[in-house]
Amino acid sequence: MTATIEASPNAVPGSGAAPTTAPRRRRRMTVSARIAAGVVALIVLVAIVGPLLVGDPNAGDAARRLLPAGSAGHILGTDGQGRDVFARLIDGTRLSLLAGLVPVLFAAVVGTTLGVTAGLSGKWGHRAIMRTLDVFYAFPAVLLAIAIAAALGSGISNSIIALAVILVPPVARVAETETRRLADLDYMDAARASGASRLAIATRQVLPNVAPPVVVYCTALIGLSIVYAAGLSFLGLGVSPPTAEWGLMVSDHTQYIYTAPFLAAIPALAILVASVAFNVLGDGLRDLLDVRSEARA
Amino acid sequence: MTTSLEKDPAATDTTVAPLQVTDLTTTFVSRHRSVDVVRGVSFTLRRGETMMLLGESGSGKSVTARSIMQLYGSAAKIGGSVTMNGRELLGLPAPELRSLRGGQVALIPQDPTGALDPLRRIGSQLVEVLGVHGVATTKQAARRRAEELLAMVGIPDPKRVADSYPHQLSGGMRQRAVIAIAVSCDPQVLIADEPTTALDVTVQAQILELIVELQQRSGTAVLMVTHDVGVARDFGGRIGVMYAGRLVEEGPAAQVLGEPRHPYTSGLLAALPTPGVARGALRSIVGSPPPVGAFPAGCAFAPRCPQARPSCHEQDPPLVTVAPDRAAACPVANPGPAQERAA
Amino acid sequence: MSDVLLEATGLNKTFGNGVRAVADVSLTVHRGETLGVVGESGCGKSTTGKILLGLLAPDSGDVTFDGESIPAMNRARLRALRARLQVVPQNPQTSLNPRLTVRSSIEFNLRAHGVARAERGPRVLALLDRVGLTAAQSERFPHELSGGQLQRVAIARALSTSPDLVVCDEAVSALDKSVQAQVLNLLADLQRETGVAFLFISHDLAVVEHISDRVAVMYLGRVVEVASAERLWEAPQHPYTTALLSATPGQGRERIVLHGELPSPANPPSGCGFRTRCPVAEDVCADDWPALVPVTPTHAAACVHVTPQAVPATAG
Repeated sequence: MTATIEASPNAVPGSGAAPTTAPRRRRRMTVSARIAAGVVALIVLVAIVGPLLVGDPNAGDAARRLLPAGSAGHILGTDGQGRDVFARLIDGTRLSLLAGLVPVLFAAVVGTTLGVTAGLSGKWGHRAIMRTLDVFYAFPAVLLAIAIAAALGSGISNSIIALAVILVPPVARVAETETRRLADLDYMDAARASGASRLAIATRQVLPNVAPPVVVYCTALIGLSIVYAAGLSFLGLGVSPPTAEWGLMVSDHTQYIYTAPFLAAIPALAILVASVAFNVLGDGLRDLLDVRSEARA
Repeated sequence: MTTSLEKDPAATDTTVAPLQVTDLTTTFVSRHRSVDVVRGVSFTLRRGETMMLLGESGSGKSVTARSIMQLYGSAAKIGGSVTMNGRELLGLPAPELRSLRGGQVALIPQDPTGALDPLRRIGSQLVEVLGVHGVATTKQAARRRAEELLAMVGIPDPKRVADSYPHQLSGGMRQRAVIAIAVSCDPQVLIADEPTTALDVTVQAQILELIVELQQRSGTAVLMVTHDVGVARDFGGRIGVMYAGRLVEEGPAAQVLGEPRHPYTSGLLAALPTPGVARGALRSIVGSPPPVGAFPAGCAFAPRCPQARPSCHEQDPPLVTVAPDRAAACPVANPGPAQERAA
Repeated sequence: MSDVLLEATGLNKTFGNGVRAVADVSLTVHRGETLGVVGESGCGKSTTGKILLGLLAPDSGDVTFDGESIPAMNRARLRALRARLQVVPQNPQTSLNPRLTVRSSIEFNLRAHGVARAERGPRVLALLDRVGLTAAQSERFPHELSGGQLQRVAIARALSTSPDLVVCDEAVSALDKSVQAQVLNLLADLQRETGVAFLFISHDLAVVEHISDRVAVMYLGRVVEVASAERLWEAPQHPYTTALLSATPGQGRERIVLHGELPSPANPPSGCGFRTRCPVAEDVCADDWPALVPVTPTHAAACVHVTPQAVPATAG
């Protein structure tokens, strides 16, 4: 983030419409948001280079199964088939992250387009788009994802498609709300009165305002998407064995819940950490991108 | 116009003045910086007198008024002295301050909507204020008094209005209700912070008449904050012109607005569109009022002043007597040592 | 070429909530003149402005710009016309997109009318220079500028496509008086140089009187009086205009304090909408809203107390 945003001297009440041309100060994210950003960067780094550094995640030795964490050569132990849990965790980062990112990217593009279009359309266009999206709210999102994934058949790409579909409506809702908020402002009247095409108004006037809240929202959605993707894999609707993926690992490990109770906790913890990190980063970005307080006098 | 003329704020008998403000400073402090908003304002408000604080945005006029009531809590550091009938208000413990507010000194804010509780009927809000300050002892008496007050501020059917919620009333009616609350405890000082800015012109005229009427009836001293020269002219009394947190000129309204001494006052008056001025020929002041937190050094008006001298950019001229009952903070406004001696 | 630039006839607009914002409004703007529209909140002046700009469709009535009907135009024709019909909005804090630099805001309008990319930069700087801003300020964001500077940018943007008419909707109302004078002078200078006509909407009678050639006074969605600015100031005919003038502070007029408040536009009184507050209302006022009758060839008022004259009205 390189945006320089001015902090408002909001401790100056009652002084009327004083222009706030105070000295520029770079607004910073909170400590927790910066830690979250570090964790996210680490996850991305692991996803890119991690698999090159660890051994074959599928190489198993039936004789050395269910070793506890800290065993020689197996820092996190081995699973039911004698495969190294650490190698599988690192290798699985790539697919888990992909399953988190791709649906959100798709939802961000499609959702923003739909939301902005709805927000700028007349009564009927707005109704057509938003009511159609409302249909998706009739079902619990997870249930819908399961239904879609089941209908398409298992496999990573199908689980990504299923997640992308269920994430579009909430993103569209965020974009539509923001667009409607702008619609009554003076500069939107001026933009309409400028003679510019609707496309130009949407991309050059509306989008710069809609993008920040959508980015913030989508960052938090990545965490959710990782959890959902893991859930689909857990149910056997995502990645198929023996591929390493966090959700599949949890599913795999739970059968040993009585013999090796902490085994399932390892990939579950990875899912938790990634999901929380993206959520906290989303909150941090909101503070960073919020210039609305400056717009008011 | 006032008959008792003030020569020097320090020399007059201050114990009788309902409100005496001496060298008031207000600094807003936040985690990152502190901003001086009011920078040494002094004036005296006598019984039954009206004092106008006239200024543009960022001049500190509203903050001055609100600092007197100490409405900013820990967000602002307030210095100097504010006395009511000789009693120092700055540094009073919170309970005493609370009983003072709404009792001896009351505020009419700019936005009546924000001053009323949207979820409670007007009557019950009035009754509460009367109860808190012990004006009415029984519920029935309080309710009767509430309706009397609403009638007194020119509300045609006080019973209905007392039973209404704020959103059911028009802006003008809401402001009347707020005024009723403000005068309910018969304050000695009424602070009106741009009381008509949010209202339409024809309604504004009604509210201003009402304030004058209430003042004449009860002898309340009124401190009124406005950005509108026209309102200041109509209201009369004394006037203090504020710029960048300081009082730059003070005196009887008719004199100050008729024959301004400070270049800012004369610039402001010349900038008003008046009949007879050719279109495009308004005598504007260059630049804009400095924003809070970025007041220029020396005389804050010097960068915009057509008569600024080199020394003006270094030294902030003090408010000195320039004529009987008139003061201005400008070396240009001071006609010479003769007058200074007279003061 | 006709002297009439914009003509609105019989405009009506009722909103979904039953508010009759504009009722039977007819206005004419001549080339190069300033028509002031004055009235209190809820009188329909801003709605009228939006209809004239083609941003809002009237329920009935017609607006012709240079002889061409705006409501009848197709979208492409209207977009092309917009180069000649511009707006300076009210609130400096929202008249510019907070996410765009000053340069981008003005370039947006130039681009809409096919000004080549290479030409836009110099044009923006020339426009900013004309309204008294520097090249360095072109890269600023709105929150870095003062209210007066923001309205200068909004004026530069409106003038970027050399319009024939600019609707100024309370364009100086939010500014400090010392800054307001600068902006009013700027508007007057620009009109002298370019011959642009202004429709100047404001609640401030003193400002409207100063900047306008002719003034229309609105009350409850209707035009109640039209006259030259001087004439309106000196010899107002409608009792509402008289009261409005007297209520304007600091004029030293004998004050006529109107009783009561503006009736709700959703539920106006029968007959003349002003009769509930009018000091000279009679029984007959409850029958019908009076039509605008000419007092002189250029002065008309809608009141039963106005004596019609046997001269053809050109005001309106």
